[in-house]
Amino acid sequence: MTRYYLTSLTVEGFRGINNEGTPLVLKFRPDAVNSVFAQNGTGKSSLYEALHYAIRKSVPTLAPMQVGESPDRYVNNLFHSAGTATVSLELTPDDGSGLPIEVTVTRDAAGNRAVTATPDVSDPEELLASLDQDFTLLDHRTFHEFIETSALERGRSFAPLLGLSKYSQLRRGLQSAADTRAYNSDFDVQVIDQQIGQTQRVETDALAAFTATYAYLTGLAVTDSAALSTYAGEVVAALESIPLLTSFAHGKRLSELDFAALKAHVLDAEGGALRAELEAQTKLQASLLAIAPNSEEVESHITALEGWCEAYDTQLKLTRGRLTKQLNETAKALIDTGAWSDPLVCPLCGSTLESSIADRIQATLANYDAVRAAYIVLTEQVSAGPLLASLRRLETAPLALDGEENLSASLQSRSDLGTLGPEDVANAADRWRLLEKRRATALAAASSELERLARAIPPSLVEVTTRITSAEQALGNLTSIWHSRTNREGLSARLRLYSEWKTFMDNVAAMAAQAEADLSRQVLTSLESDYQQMFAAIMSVKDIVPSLDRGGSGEHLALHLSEFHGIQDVSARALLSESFKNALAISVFLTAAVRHGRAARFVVLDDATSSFDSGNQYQLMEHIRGSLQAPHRADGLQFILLSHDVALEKYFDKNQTERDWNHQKLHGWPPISPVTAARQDADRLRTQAEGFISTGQTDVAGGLIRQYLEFILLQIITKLGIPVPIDIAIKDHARMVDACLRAIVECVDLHRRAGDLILDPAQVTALSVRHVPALVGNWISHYGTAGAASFSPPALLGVLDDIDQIRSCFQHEVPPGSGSWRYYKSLTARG
Amino acid sequence: MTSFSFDNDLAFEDNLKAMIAALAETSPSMAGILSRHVDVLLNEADEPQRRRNRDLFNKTVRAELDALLAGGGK
Repeated sequence: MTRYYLTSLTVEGFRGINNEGTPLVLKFRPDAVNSVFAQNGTGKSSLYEALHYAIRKSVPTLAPMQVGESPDRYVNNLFHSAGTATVSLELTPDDGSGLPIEVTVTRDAAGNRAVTATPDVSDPEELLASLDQDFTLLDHRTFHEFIETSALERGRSFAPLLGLSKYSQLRRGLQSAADTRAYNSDFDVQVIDQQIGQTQRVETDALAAFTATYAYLTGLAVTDSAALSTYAGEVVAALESIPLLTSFAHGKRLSELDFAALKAHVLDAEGGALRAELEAQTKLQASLLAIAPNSEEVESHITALEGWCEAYDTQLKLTRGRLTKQLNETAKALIDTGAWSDPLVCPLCGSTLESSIADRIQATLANYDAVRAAYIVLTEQVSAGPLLASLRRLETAPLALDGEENLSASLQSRSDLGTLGPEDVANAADRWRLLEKRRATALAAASSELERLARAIPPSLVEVTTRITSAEQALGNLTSIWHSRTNREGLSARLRLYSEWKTFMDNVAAMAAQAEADLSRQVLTSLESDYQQMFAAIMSVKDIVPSLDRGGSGEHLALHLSEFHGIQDVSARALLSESFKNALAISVFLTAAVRHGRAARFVVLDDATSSFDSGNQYQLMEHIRGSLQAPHRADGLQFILLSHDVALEKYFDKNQTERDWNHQKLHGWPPISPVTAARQDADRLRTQAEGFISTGQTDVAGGLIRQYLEFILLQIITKLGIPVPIDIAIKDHARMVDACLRAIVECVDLHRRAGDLILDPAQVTALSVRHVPALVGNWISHYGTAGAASFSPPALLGVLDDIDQIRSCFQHEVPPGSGSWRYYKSLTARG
Repeated sequence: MTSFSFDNDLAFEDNLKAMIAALAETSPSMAGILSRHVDVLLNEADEPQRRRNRDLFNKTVRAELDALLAGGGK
C-alpha cells in the first residue's frame, strides 16, 4: 500500500485565514519534525481545522453549535470577497513510487464541497477518506476523551487505532442484527404467531360447523379430525342413498358434486315457488349460523381490550405531548455529546435541579416509550383478537343498515395509522353487540320461516333440499379447514426458518465477539512494552506503569496502572495528574500509530502538550524526534506539531538549525489581513525590523528587535554550551534577555580570570566595554518601561548593530580571510 | 457457540471469509445468506445509521429466507 507524507498545505478563505489572492502556504519535510508556532489569534487553529475539514469533512469547533446558530456560516472566511474556501494538500508517496499529488478541497459560498486532484488520482475523495485515521489529527481533546470516557466507549473508539476498526464494526453490526427485539419486529414474529392462532380459530369454527352438519347428514359423530376425506365420502354416500339423487352422486367426490344441478333436479321433481323460497331461507339460515361468534370469547376479549385501553390511557397521561418529547430528545442529544458539563443545571432555563438532568430526561423519555409499548399491545390485540374478526364477518353479512359506517375497516385503518383510541374500541364493541343481536333475530326469523315452508311443502322433498344444502355447507366447511391447515403449515414453516436464522445469528455474533476480543488482546499485548517505555521516557518515571486491559469477550478497554509507587493494579483515571494522563494517552496513540501503517504516514498534533510542564514537553519532543520520526526510525511517521506555547517555541527555535527539524512561525492578523509563514531565522527578524524602522514604525520594530536579541543570545548559549540559570528553561519569559546576557557575561568573566578563555582580547574588550553596556544602557533597561516607545529610528538601528557585534565576539573566521564566520566550540575551545 | 479465531496475519476480508467458511460447515445455507449480505453491516456508522443498516440487512435476509421457503433460494 502506498503511504503518503503531507509535504505542503495551502489555505485561502477558510475560517480565520483570509489570504485572498495570496494563499498561506506551509511546506513540511518528511525527514524532519515539522513545528509551526503561532501566537494566539494568528491562525493556528484555522490550519488544524482546514486539515480536519479536508480529511474529515467537518470543523470541530463548529460541530457542537446548534443549527439555529448557523455554524455553516462560519466555515468560510467572512471577509473573503468571493466567500470561497480552498484547502490544498500536497501528498508525497513514501516509497518514491511517484510524484507528489495535490488534492484540493473547495467550499463555495453556498456551502457546497468539491474535491479535485491532479490527474493521476482517480478518486480524490476516496484518497482523503483513506487518510482519515484516528491518529492522523490529534489534539488535547482526543487524549482527554481517551482517558475520561467509559471503558466501553474507549474500547470502541480505540479499535481503529489498533487497525481493528473493521472487526469492531463487524462485531457491532452482527450484534445489532442478532438483537432479539429487532428480529421480532423485522421478521414480524408476533404477527405470524397471531396469524397462526387465527387459522387455528377458523379451523375450530369450521370443524364445529362440519361436525354438526355431518351428524345431521349421517347420524354419526366426527371423532378424528385427521380423517376428513373419509367423512367427505360419507357425506356423498348420504346423498347417494336418496334415490332421487343417486345417479348424480354415484362415483363422485364431494368436491365434484354439482349442487346447482342437484337443486334444479329437485325443483324439477316438484316445482313451485315455495321450493325456491325454501332454498333461499335455508341458505340464509346457514349463512347466519356460519357467522355466529363465540359470544363468550368475544365478550371476554372486549373486557381485556378495555383493560389495555385503560393501560394505554394511563401511560398517555404521564406524557406531555410531542413537543415535550422532541425537547427531551434534543436535550438528551446535547447531554450525550458531553458538551453540557453540569448535570444539575437545566440546559433550557439554567435553573438548578435537585437531580441529574440526564436522569430526568431518561425518566421522561421512558414514559413515551411506555406509551408506545402500551399502544403496540393494544393494536396487536385488536388486530389479532376475535372482536375484529367477528365484527368483520357480521358486517359482511346483510345485517348493517344503510348509512352505518363499516367499523371493522375503520378500526383496522386507525390501528395501522397509529390513531387508534379507547373510544374506537368502545364503538366497535357496541357495533358488534348490535349486529350480533340483529343476527340472532334474523336467524330466529329464518328458522321460523323454514318451519312454515316445511309445513307447506311435501316433507320428503323438503328434507332432500335441506340435505343438499347441508352437504354443500359441509363442503364449504371442509374447504375452510383445509385452507386453514395449509396456511398454518406455511406460516409455521416460515417461523421455524426465521427461528433457525435467529439461532444462527446469535451464534455468529457471539463467535465474532469472542474472536474480536481475542485479537484485540493480542494486538494490545504486542504494543504494551512500547507505550510503557514511551510513557516512562516522557515523564521520567519508572514506578508508574500504565496498562490497557481487554478482559473477557466484551468491548470494554480498561485503563489502569499495573504499578503505582509499589501498589499494583489501581485506577489510572483516579490517580494520575492531568499531564500524566495526557502523556499516557499520547504514548498509547503514538505507539499504535507507528505500529500500524496506514495511508497517512503523518501525524498532526495540535497543542497536544498543553497540560505538560516544560520538561515533559521537551522529553516528548525528543522522543518523537529520536524514536518515532522518520528517518530515525525506519517505519517512523512524519510529525507536524502546531503550538502556541511560548516555552515550546524556545525549544523549536533551539532546534531549527538541526537537520532533522523544520520550524516555521505564523505571522499576521486574522481574520482580515493575510497570514504568512516563515522559517524562524534571525535574518528574517532583522530584515523585518529594519523594514519597520525605515517606515517609522518603531513600536512594531521594537518587538522584533527583542525577538532578534533573544534569538542571538540563545544561539550563543547553545553553540558555546554556556551554563544558564534554571529559570531560563522554565518560561521566565519576561526576564529572558536579562538572564541570558548576564549568564554569558559572567561565564566569559569566569574563564577570563581562569585564563582559559578562547575569545581574543579585542573581542573581550568589545564585549565588556562597548557592546554589552551599550545594549543594556540603550535598550534593555528601557524596554520594559514606557521609555521604549520613544526610541528614535537611528537608536534602534544602533541596537541592531550592537546585537550583531555581540554575536561576532563569539565567532572566528574559518579559514582566516575567507569571510566565513563560525561560532567557537565553547568558551575554551576554538572548534 | 462455534469456536473461531481471527488471524492477525491475515487481512480482514480473509478473516471474514474464514469465519463464514467455519459457519458453513454446520449451516451452509445460513452462512451463504450471511456471506451475501454481511457487507451492509460493515459500513462505518453512528448508532442511528447502524440501526438503518440492520433494518436493511434484516429485510434482505428475510426476502432470501422467504425465497428459500418457496423453493427459489440461492
